[in-house]
Amino acid sequence: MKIAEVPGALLVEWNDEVKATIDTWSSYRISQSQFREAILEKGVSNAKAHGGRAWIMDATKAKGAFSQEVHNLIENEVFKTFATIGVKYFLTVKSTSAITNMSIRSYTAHLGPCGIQMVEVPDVDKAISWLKANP
Amino acid sequence: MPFMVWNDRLSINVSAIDDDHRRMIETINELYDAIRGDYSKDVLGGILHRLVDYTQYHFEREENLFSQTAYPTASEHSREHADATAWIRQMRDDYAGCTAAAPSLKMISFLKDWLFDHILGSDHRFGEFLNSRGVH
Repeated sequence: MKIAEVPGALLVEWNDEVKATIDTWSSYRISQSQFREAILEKGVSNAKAHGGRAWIMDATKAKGAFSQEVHNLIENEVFKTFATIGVKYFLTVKSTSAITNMSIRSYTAHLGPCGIQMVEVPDVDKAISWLKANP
Repeated sequence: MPFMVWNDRLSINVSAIDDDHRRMIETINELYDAIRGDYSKDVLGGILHRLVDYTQYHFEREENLFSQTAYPTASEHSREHADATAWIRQMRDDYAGCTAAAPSLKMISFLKDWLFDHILGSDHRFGEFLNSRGVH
């Protein structure tokens, strides 16, 4: 089920079977306000209403790095909010871009202090399988 | 101490490419100093513009050498160039077009890490290939 979209950058969907939100990124070129609306407002609101326990971030096709403003938002608000609504797992599918992966490494370093477990997976199907095996 | 420092480990034993890398490091150091010093938009934008131009010039030099020497992993190496060029150009254009603030020190750290990783990985392999064909 589609939850939000930022054309050319992001699609946010809900997988009810594993109670996970799936972010599919095609570019990390997104403004802080677009990120806030798609993830912190629509994504979080849906996950909270449906008992979301995981977030899957698919960056396979993503390019570039998040801006400093988006990094700040993720590190200061997003992961804390995820923890508050009961998200336990953050599953990441890396990009083919080394620069995007630097951006991912930088912000996911802030997951641990929020009590969210990071899991690296090769693709979204493996992420879903992992969640089924770890109810 | 400069933000990025050239050292012999970075050399790929091809003088033209080493010279390019030194100049890219100098330009990134200028950018770092300009961000820390909160320099004017004109100055910072000018440095970003030079960085884009010089990066493109340098990558074209390497890619011409790929063609001339039939370098076997050229396409993979060129993809790394395209990835970095697009990102640096995006930073420049977003800043020039006022759709983004000046690049942050975190972004410049990404650039530094990317360049060092690229030189020590892909460029070193290319250097060994060129050296084996008598290019220094």
